[in-house]
Amino acid sequence: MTDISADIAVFLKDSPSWADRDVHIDSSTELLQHGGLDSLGVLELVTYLEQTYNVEILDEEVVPENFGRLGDVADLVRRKLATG
Amino acid sequence: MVNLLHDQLTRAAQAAPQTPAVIDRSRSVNYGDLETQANQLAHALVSRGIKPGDRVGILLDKSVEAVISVYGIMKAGAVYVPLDVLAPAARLAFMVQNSDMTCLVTSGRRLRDVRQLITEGAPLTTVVRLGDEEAESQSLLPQISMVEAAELDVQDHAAPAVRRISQDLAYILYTSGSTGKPKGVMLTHRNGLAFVDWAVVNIGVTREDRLSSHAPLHFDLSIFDLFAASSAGAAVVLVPPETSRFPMQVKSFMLDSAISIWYSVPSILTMLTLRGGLSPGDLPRLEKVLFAGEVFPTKYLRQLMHQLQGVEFWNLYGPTETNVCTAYRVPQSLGDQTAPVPIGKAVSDDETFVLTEGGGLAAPGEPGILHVRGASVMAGYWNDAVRTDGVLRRSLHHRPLEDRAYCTGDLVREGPDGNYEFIGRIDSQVKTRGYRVELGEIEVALQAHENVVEAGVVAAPDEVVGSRLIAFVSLQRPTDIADLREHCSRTLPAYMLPERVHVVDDLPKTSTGKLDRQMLAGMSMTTNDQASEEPDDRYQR
Repeated sequence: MTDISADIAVFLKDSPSWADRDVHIDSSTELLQHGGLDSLGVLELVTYLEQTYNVEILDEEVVPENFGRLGDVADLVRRKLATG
Repeated sequence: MVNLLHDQLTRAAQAAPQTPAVIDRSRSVNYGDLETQANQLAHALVSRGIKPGDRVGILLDKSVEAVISVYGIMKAGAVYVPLDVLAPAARLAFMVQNSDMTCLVTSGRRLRDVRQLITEGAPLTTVVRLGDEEAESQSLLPQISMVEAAELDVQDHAAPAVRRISQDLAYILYTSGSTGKPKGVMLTHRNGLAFVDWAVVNIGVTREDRLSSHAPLHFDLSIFDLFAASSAGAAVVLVPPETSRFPMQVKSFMLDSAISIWYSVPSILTMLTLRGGLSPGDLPRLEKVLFAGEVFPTKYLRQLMHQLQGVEFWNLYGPTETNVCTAYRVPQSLGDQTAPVPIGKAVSDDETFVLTEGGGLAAPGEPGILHVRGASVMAGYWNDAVRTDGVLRRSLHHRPLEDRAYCTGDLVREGPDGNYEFIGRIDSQVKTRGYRVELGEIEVALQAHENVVEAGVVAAPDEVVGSRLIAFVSLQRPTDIADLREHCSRTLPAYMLPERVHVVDDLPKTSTGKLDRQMLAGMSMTTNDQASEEPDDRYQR
């Protein structure tokens, strides 16, 4: 797993919605399925990404395509870092 | 004249059978078909032995089928009990047992969950499977009698003849209980209709409207969504759960579905304000936004009102036990106000009054506990006379009536304009994401872990979610925090799991040996400060 994915995995594992799930989270982990990220979880993840990587995530980028799997989130961050 | 919640559906179906009643993504059912399918379900339930007053569960994702179940169960004379599809099986099994429920309505994809319920000890005997969804696993348990589509389709289209009156129970909603188990709030047809009738006239709902249905059925905001819609003959559009995770999608949903009346907890609206990319004029069909369940931070409300210029905003207030009992129409401009908007004045056929600690009536401006009596107040807690008597109290101020008033436990004061202002709670009940949570219930769950000696939970105020749950535990032997959380998640829904668990040697006590929550709250602030370097406005951009 890349560093970015690993960081995000640590952040996610610390959030309450993941408490009852497999401890193992990797790039292919589905974030939006039953018991995963809720609406607040998405917002908190966005805030975390913006602060940790010093990027600005636009409202239109907060969509399922970018938050479906952990790998999608890491890809989004990498794109932002590359263009930022 | 008898008037029941489901009579509204019958009237809407007679008046305009072709009008859409429920819209769920690409599916739509009109009032005529909704009435027929609810009647068929009611006949099937009656033929399987469901008697007036029996409790029938609903374990369904929000869907056309879920709405059919609500009406079908009431049409059978029974009481519907919505179960949270996201709650742990042990918690739901408790509700099934506690409400003496033997029959449950579900769908193919939830059959597996039903089996888990039964494994957890739920004494179900009959399971109705609605819809044509494929079952993930076909084999239930041998002692369960299944009702399937083939049996439903051959039932009579007209409603079964079951005599019920408006003070009979219509539904039971389970809420968090301070002693560790959820409690069932019993509501009658009259309770539901009192508010619905008021709302349709005073908030203004017509058959031209499109209402959103955002809250799950086990949450009492759904009463307005479903029954204000059928009362007016309007369509209710179900908000797909995955949509509400993404604010831009909420906006698209509202636009595409032509929602004219939106109703939800404030936290979802705060997210829409912060990340929805809203500009004035974006939602031309939207006329009214109603919110309830928690305090709406004024700065976000002001921002949203700016983004949605011309839209009418209402703050609705009421514990599940009273449905909605007060309401406040937010003025067009909030000026430079920073305090939360008031909860308003009594509505429908309710009277509200404020009692001081000494039991006397509070003067305007004087803080006291809000009490409610009248048509929207619950019949009591299911199978729990002690707790019922604890909160439904005979009012000394209404003699010689034997009427009982509900003690909300909410501290309020009456403002100069007669509107109540919410100050806080007198006990350890908190709101998080609009959900009502008893801290004691989380403490009981933590203490049930073999390594936990003592547990205390406090709520740290939070602008977006209302409050965040912080737990303190003392342990017999070193234990992984993840293990504690996992343990709690077997009995508590996700929104009740503590966000932080701190291990301490001893929990602070008051002079009487009780848990000192004030001290704990202080500890949660300091531990937060040390742990977090995030600025206070971390949701702001």
